[in-house]
Amino acid sequence: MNKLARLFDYQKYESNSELAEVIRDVESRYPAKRQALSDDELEFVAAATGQTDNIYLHDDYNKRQRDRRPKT
Amino acid sequence: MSGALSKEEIYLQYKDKVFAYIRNHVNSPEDAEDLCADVFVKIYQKLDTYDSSKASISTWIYSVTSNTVIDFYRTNHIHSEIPEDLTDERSTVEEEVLSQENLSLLAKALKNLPQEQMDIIVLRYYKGYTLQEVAEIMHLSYGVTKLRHREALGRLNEMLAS
Repeated sequence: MNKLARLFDYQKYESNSELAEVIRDVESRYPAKRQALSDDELEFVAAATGQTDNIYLHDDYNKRQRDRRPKT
Repeated sequence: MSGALSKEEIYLQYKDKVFAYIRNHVNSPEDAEDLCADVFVKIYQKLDTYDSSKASISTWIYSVTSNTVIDFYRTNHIHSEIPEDLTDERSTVEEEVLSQENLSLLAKALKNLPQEQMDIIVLRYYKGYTLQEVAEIMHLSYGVTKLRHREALGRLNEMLAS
């Protein structure tokens, strides 16, 4: 049912509060499977535990984001 | 033309929404950042073709974003991993279908389903699990899950059509 799939995909972009409530309700009954941390999340964890090398990583990350911002 | 919004305003208003959507579909944060930048380049390039009588600017940006994610999977030859909610067909009906109003209608319709059916639909279409995975998560047999799924689709069709 393509329409249904598209509506749920659209919800990931244009969150509707009523539908978000239904989804939260369902999610609360089925806790997500544990997932591996992404590289970004690992950087934040490392920064939080005081590893200074990762501060530079974090700066690079921010710079990369600024550089990638399209010029208007 | 977009009318009211400048490129800068579009970027500021939609960057978080676009990035969050892409992150939802793409595992790598770096790929997501690249795609987000691609989306805004496309938006700026195509802004002159945007027709406000056909769709809101938000829905139009969603279409550009979703097509960019599909292209990412295609270009990287990971066609089989295109999420099922992002089908190959670049939807032409979405301008009519995709609206806050229809999301509210879907929410109301889901609330009218038996809980088990509502759960199956959300796990299948929002969380993207296969029916086999849904069956495992809900501790149901595959046969029962398939049956309830079909029943739920039938009821939703009726409710959303009326």
